[in-house]
Order: sequence, then C-alpha cells, then structure tokens
Amino acid sequence: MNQTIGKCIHPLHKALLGAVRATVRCGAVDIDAERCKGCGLCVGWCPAQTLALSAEANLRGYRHSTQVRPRDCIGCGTCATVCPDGCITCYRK
Amino acid sequence: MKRTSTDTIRREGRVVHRRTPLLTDAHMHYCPGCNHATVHRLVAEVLDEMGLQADAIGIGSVGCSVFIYNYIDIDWIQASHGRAPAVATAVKRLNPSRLVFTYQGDGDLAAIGTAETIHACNRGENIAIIYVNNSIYGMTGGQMAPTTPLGMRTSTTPQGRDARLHGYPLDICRLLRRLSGVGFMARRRVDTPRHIRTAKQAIREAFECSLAGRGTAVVEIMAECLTNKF
Repeated sequence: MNQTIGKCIHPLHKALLGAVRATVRCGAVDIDAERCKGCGLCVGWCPAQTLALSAEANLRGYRHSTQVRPRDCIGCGTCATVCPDGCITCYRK
Repeated sequence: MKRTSTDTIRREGRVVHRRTPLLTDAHMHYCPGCNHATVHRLVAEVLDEMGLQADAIGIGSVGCSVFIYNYIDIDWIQASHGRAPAVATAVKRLNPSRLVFTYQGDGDLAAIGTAETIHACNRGENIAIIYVNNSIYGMTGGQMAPTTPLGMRTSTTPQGRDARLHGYPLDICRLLRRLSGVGFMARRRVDTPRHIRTAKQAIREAFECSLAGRGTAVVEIMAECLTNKF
C-alpha cells in the first residue's frame, strides 16, 4: 500500500490542481487532533500535499495529522475518506 | 478570482465529509491505520444514510472487532466465537422487519465459524454478513489462518505458507457462491479512496438485499493487519 501512496495523481491532474490552487482557495479541513492516531494515510493520499504529521505528540502520544499548507486545500474530501478513525471534517466552497 | 479565508469556507461552504453521528465518542482501540476502523466507519455511514439507526441489530463477533458495540450506536448482541450467523438467524426470524447483520473477521467466520456461515448462507437467511478478511489471526499475534494465501509470511509460517506442509487456503466466497441461498456477494478492499467508496456501495447493496428478503448478503472486505505484517 505504501508504494502506491504519492503516485495516486495523474500528471495532468497535478497541473490542473496547480492552476486551481493559484487562483482560488476552495477547501478547508478540521482535524480532531486528540482522536488522530498518526497513521499518515491522509498525509499520503492528499492530492494537494497540504497535510503533514505534527512535530509534537497529542495526549495519547501520537504525532497527529495537521494542515501545513491550508491555502492549498482543494476540499476534495480524500483525507476524510481514508481516515480510519473519522477525525477529519472537510468543507468546500 | 478573489481568495476566500478558511473560516469563511468553514462557515459558508458545504460539508464534503464529516464524522457520522452514529459513531460514538469512544476512542477506537485499533492500531493506527487499521482497516477495521475504516469498515466500522463505512458501516456507520451506510446505516446513517439509510436511516436505520433504530432498526438495525448488529451481531458482534470475537477477534479484534469484539468491541464494535462501543463504537457504533445501534443495538448489538455479542455472539460466541464463530456463532454470529446462528445468532443473527434467530434475531432475524424473531424480528423480520429489522436489518440484522453480522460483523466478523476471517478467524471467526472462516475458521471456527465455518459451519454456521455455510449453513446460514445455504438456508438463505435474510441477514447481511460483513466479513473482514485480513488473512491472519491479528489479535493473537499474526498466526497463520485458514485464509492465509500461499507464500504469505506470518509469525507461524516464517518461510511463507507451503501447501505441502500447511494445506491450501480456504476461499470462503468461492465456497459460498455455489449456494442457492446467497442473494448478494461482493469482495472489496479498502486500501485506496476509490476502493473505500466502492466498498461502502457494496455494504449498502448488501443491506438493501437483506432488507428486501433476497437471501443472505455477504461482503468480503480484504484488509491487512499493519501490526503483524512481515
């Protein structure tokens, strides 16, 4: 599974995403940091690469997922689809 | 085009995905990235979308998913090891209008509960079976299960499963599809966003098949145990 992460997006898709990203900010996510177990699935699958694992751990000792580039979020909902624990709420304009 | 602030998107935008209210606030005990948690979420979302919270009765099994009654807010019965289809048969016959489904792993459904599974499917009980197959006994340390594919390395087959020594794997869906009582059968996986969506669709169709009385509905979901991976 790890081999496919990061290869999930077609180059044409990537170019399109870049164009969208440059003009409009259209998505936002809320991550429940205390529920997150830091499995990294959302980080690997995010097509716009807006997510990363945090440097500090949450109360349970996991490095939780956090949005490092909120401006790039396109609100596709992929992170929320793959999140096993349902920590992510995704919004789109 | 004008840029919008993230707060405005949260306030005015539509919600693409949010945690379904059927999932309780309990913290799931699964390992990070476990496919069980994903399937729990899919089951809860489908029940929520079909409006079946008050009408669904789940039968829990033994294995990693034993605490499922803590996580999904519907009626649950905890069955003995492998006996979930038998319990579901009784519950469905006493409550024909309710959706009755079992949630089982491969150690439960395809090892100790093979007889119950085959006979429930053969009788065509109108129950749905959610079967999460990770090919090993995950809870007890990743030992070889009857469903372990040939060549797969587990803690008890460090050189890979060998047919001459360990026998052949049991493909329960190939066995069940020959039975007349099965009304719906699907095999899905939950490793990519696309597969997660198709798995959710299969769970929905299984529940619809069960409610329509078309026979037993079986959804096999291929999963992997990340903790006991060799």
